[in-house]
Amino acid sequence: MISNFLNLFEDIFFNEKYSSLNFIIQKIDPRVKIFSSIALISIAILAKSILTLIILTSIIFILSIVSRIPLKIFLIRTSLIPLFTTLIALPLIFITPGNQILNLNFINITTEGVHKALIFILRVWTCVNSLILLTLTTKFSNIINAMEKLKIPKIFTVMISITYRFIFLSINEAYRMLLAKESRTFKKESRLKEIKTLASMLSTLFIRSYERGERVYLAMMARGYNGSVNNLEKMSINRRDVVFILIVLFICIIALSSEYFLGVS
Amino acid sequence: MHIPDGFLDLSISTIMFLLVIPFWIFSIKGVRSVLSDKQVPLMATLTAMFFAAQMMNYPIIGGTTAHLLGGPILAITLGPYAGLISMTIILFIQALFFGDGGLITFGANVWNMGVIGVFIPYLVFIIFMKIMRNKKGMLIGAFLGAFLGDVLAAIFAGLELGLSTINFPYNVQIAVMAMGVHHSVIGIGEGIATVMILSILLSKRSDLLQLQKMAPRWLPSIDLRGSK
Repeated sequence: MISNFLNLFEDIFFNEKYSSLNFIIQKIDPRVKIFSSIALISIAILAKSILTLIILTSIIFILSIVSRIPLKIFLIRTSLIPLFTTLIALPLIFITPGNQILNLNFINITTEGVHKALIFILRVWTCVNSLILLTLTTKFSNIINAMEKLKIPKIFTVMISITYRFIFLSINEAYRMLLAKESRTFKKESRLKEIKTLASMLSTLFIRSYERGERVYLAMMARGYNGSVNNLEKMSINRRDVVFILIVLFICIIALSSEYFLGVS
Repeated sequence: MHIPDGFLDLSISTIMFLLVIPFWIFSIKGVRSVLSDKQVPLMATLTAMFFAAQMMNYPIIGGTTAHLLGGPILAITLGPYAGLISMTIILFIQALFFGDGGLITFGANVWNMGVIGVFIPYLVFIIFMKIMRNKKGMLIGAFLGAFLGDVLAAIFAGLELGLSTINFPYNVQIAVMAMGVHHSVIGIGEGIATVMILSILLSKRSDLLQLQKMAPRWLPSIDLRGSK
């Protein structure tokens, strides 16, 4: 069961299957993609009407379909946070004063409340969608490369790339330990005992990671590591990227102006 | 405690970014002056380990579970500067690959869990070490530091959420109360876990805790092995 979970986990979160495809969105320069996701998220944060948010989300969905990401994978990856948001937004339906739709003895449901909650959930969903589209269509090494080109300090980019390589190994190790513990536990233990076991597992993990770090360093040294990691892939901004960014900016300007000048709501 | 995109106003997010940037600059400078090539892969594998550790849940009061934030133990083992960088990287990967956190709210999340969640435990820990100068003082410091760091980080998160009057539908009182109460329970768990990990590390591999020297220079350096 745990190994199933691990496979699923690897499949969903660390899969580069879709980022190594070669469709429109994947071909666009990572720097341009990072910039456009930031722009789309900012617009979603500024948006005040449901209509704008729906249009933004559908644009992102169209982009994900165009880049051949299976809808199921996309939805699984984007629905986690909005589900949590729904829980937070639920009380709003009942506590917001205003026009009542449904009035039971204790429960009032108002249109204003429903509207508020809907906007809140939609906004978060739009933001998550645009972020996940970026990570699903861009290879990890390309994101790191783009960050280097954008003058993010070297220590961050080097550490992120090494950390990323070892995350799955660490998670695997942690789950092997949990599995070993589960298989030796027959009755429910007290809370303190459980925290104690967890702490000893974590310190073992810590020591193992420390030793692995030393081994990794030696292995890297043996292969000529001199304190920096170089990426050989060249990046260049061509006409396609310029067109893409112009379209994104156009969408943003339309969305903003319809919100603030025409008062669409 | 990760705040996703869309929860905070643009203005609050920008302010949080501006607040975090000096800490980043200081940390990079601080780490660069003491970090050899060797420690970069080391910090990276430890960061990966804390990433995995954040996925292990332990039970707390009343059926709910919490997970280790890792800030306090990072601060104690790596020092606050390297701790902040590790935490930043954990948060970045979580935001990008799990949708847990966000790009625009990244500054706010780093402030809560990276700056408050690492520096406060470290300061409390150091103060207790200075006052009591023994193993007991160290463990009490680690517990209180972890607890305070967690609660303060949660209160900051509540403040940021509550002050985002445009995007977040609840007011400051509700947000701070909800986050504070919830995390004061989680903080106790974090404290106990931190103390246990620390005492196991001290008895098994106290040489590892030397990484402490990555601390800021104005703070007194303490040899943890001497206080066993």
